Order: sequence, then C-alpha cells, then structure tokens
Amino acid sequence: MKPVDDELIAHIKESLSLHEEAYVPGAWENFNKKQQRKGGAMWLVRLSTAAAILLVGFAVFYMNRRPELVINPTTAGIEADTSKPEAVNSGPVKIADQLTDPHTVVRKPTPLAWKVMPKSASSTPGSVPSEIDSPVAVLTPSTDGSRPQDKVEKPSADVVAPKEVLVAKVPSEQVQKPSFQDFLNAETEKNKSQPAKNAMASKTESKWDLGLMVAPSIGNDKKINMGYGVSMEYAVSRKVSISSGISYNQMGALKTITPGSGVMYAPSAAVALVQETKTLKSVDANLVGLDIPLELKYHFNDRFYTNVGLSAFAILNQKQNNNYVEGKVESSASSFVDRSAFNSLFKESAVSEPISSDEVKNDKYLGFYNLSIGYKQKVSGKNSFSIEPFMKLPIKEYSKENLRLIGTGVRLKFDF
Amino acid sequence: MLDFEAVLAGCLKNENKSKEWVYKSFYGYLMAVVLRYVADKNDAEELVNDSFIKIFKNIAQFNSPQVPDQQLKAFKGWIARISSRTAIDYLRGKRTFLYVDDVVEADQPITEVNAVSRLNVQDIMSLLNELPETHRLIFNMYEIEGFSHDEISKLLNMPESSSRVYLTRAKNKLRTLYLASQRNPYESTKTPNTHPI
Repeated sequence: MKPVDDELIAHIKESLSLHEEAYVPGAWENFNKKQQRKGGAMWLVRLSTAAAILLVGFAVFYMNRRPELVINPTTAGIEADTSKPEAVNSGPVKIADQLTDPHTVVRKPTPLAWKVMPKSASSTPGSVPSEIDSPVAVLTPSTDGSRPQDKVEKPSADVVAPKEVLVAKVPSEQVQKPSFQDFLNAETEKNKSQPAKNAMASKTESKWDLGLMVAPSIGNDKKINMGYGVSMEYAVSRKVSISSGISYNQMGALKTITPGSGVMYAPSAAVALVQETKTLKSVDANLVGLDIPLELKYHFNDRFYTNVGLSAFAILNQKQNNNYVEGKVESSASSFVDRSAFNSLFKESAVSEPISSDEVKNDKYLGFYNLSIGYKQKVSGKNSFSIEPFMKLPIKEYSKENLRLIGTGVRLKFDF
Repeated sequence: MLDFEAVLAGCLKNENKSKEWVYKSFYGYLMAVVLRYVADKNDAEELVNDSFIKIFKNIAQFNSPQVPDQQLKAFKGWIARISSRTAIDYLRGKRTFLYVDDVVEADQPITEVNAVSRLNVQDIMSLLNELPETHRLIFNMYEIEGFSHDEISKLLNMPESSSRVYLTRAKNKLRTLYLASQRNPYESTKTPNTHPI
C-alpha cells in the first residue's frame, strides 16, 4: 500500500496541479506562422520527392535500352511493395496488443480516482466530488477561487455523492478510454520511430492500387487507335501518387504536305512540258508498341484528379505510307473533221506507297508527355471506375517527315 | 467568451479563429504542465506547440461529455494528458540514462516533513529544477499524472523497482532541499520564499 505522503509532497502536488502559466503575447502568431510555413514546405518536399522518383525512373529506363529491361522500374516497384508489409506490421501489432490488454485500458482511471479520494478528503474534504466525477479532474482542478468555499458548505452531501457518481461513470469511462488510449499510444509509437521518419511513408494500409484500362484515342490521322493495359499506382500522400503501368497501344499520325514546303519537289500541274507528275500530298504512320508511363497524379478531391508525366513507347511494329497524287497526261487520238488530232487530258489519281523498312527511322523508343484529367467513381470497397480524358504529346517528332504522333482520347480504368 | 461547443466545432472545421481561441486560452495551462517536466523555456515552448499540433489534428477524437459544465474540464484533462505525453516522449527520446536497472533499494527514508510553510509555485519549480531529470520525470508521472509504477516501467522501459526507487529518491531529495532552504533562507538565490500558512 502506498504510504501517506507528508504535507510537503501534498502541497507540491496541489500547487503544481493548480498552477497555470501566463500567456506569452505573440505565441499564437508564431505558432500560426510556423504551421503555415510547415504546410507549404511539406507540399514542396512531397512534390520534389515525386519529381525525383520520376527522374530516376526515366534515367533507369533510358540507360537500359533493351526492350526486356524496360519493364524493370515496374517490377522493382512490385518487389518493394511485397517486402514492406513485414517491416511495417510490427508497429501496429504492438499498438493492438497494448490496446487489447485490459490492464492498460480499464485500470487506468482507477489509480487516479482512488489515489486522490482519500488524500484530498483528508486535507480538503470539499474537493472530493469534483475530483471523482472524472479521473481527468486530478490534472485539472479549477483555478476558480470561489470553489473551495462552496465545497465546504455541504460536506455531508458530498461524501455520499462520490459512490453513485463513480458507479455511474465507470462504464462511460470504459467506452471512451480505448479511443484516447489508442491515440496516445499511436502518438508514442510515432515518437519512438522518429529516427526512421522517412520510413513512415509506408503505413499499414495498402498504398498500392492496381487497375485495368482501355484507352481509345484518336490521332491527327482521324483514325481510332486502341490501347489496353494494366496500371499501378503508389500513394505518396493523400493527395499525391505516382502511377505507372504497361499498355499495348496503337498510335497514328498524318502529315499533309503543302506544296512548296520543301519536303519534296512538287512540280505544278501547270508545267505543260512535264508528262508525268507525282506530288506528295501526305505522309501517315501507324505504330504499335508497349507504352510504359511514369506519372505524377494529384487528387483535387476524392473524385477528381490530374495526371502529368512522361512515357516511353517501345515500338513493336511500325508502318509508314507516303500518299501521292499522280498526274498523268493521257493522250488519245481523235478525229477532228478530216484531220487527225491528239486529245490530251491531265488526269490526277491518288496513290499510296508504303515506305520500305530501310527508309523508316530505326527508332526503337519514343518518348511522350502525358496529360490527363480524370473522374473517379467508387464502385465498391476498393474497386473504382475512372474516366480520364488524356492527351499524349511526342517529346520529339517521329520520322524524318516530322510526324507528330499526337493522341487524344479517353482512358477507361477499373481499379481494384 | 465564445461558446465552448462552438469553438470545438470550429476547430473541427479547421477555423483559425477557433484555434486561436483554444491556443490563447490554454497556452498557459499547457505551459505549466510541460514546465513540470522540462526546465528550459525554449524546449517547453516547442513542446507546447507540438501538443497543440496534436490537439488540433486529433480534436475529432475528443469525446465531449454530455453535461455542458463538464466539457471544459474534460477538455482540459484531455489536452493536459496530450501535453504530458508529449513531454514524456521528448524526455524519453532525449535521455539514454533512463535505461538502467542498477538502481538498488531506496535510501533510508528521512523524517516526514509536515507543517510546511506555504511555498509559491516559483519556489516549488526551483525545488523541482534541482532534481535530476529522471527523478523529476518519475515524480511528475506518478504523483501528478497518476501513472502507476507498472505503467511507468513500461513507458520508460525500466524495471518497476527502479521506478519506485527513483520516486522515493525524488521525494527525499525534495524534502532535503526544502529543509535546507528553510535553514538557510538568505544564503541561496534559489531559496524559496515562504509564507506562513
């Protein structure tokens, strides 16, 4: 049993419990300023982290120029994911253990309440009821000077009251306690692992999302190209995530050549002497390949988000056609009264000629800037469906004809 | 004064005005809690601000009692516990000497000190400041916050017996310091001012 403290210790306890410091002018302003600065800094840190990851990913990609190695950044990501749960789980399990331990949860109020009751009853009898009302009261006796007198006036009523209050209070304490205890323990756990603050980013809940997508798009050749793929997303924070994936895409481009553009000598039909003309009217290209994006996703709210990133397009198959307009002078003999004559007609016809594979630029990879805005609708639990209008812009022009492989379309995604 | 319930609701909505009211109203209260643990004013200020960050971040977890009279009291209790935990965590992270288990049995208890002169809080704070950090920490945790020795031993990762010994030593040291100050009231600048009860 705890020995009864002497008056000195009791006096120290009482004084410290009642004491309040004075407010220091300007403290709130400093606090507020710091908080705002911190908020801004956090956003910058997160953004620069994401940007750094994006850069590193692309550096790795471009250094490994072989197609099979292209997938490396993605697979590395998956490995990191699977290894994480083991390391991370230990924290929450500890908290859960502490929480389920009945000693920590239920016994907590008891020492506070019982310890205070006999002692304060002996020194200041009136203070019993207010302190027993809630164990918290031990820490927070009122500084209001009028209280002690009020309490002294009716000591007998106060002595009876505690038992009832205590009995009535216990269940509610038990109900309230776990959440507060949970919070305190969580805070303690957080502080414990402060040196490894960087590792905090990976918390218990899954930060990875997988999805399937279909992306019909239309290029400047006015043809619909289809894309199919899987996507993967890692949440850096609540607002920012990094997404990647792989998709099988078609891309198409068309460039109309205007006469005099210098692409090819295009003689005018008016040149009468020329018997045969061949004018390049347009060049089109069709590509099929694997597209590996690396994008930064910012969620405006639960539903709307935007994606900005780069993607590498590994070309599997490419076709390029030159479309000409051929002009021919057709002459036919005609009889005009009793003279023989020639009738000449200048006829134009469209001809399309595939460019031989030797002439097509031998690029195995292309780079694109990706921009999109999306709308995400939760279907059930972790499943969600998103519609994402997107735009793909080439980093450099494709082929010597300077074709711009622009793709605009709508990506339909199912996340699980 | 603003309606306390409205202030809490405002804090939940992250309204700066409500947060300012809470901060200014309870700053002194939390500072007093933290100063029981740390003597340095700058450290204490940091810890008070850390506590407020936690309070505003987790204010949704505060279970407000149904009885309006009790709300303020319960809130004060809640924030006091947050700030004392913050201070305890800070000291625990800072000190390594806490992890000792070579503390032997308590010293011989000295005579109880009764019929004491009223010390003001500054005097008490200067007595506390004379205590070694661990002694002070355990005295606060056990005597003021109401932690049990079992809880202290788990939180500070030390044997329960050490916690008991530290507490006894802290109390004895306080008594000795008090008696010394009474004997030589004019010798030390740290000497507490006494007022007859």
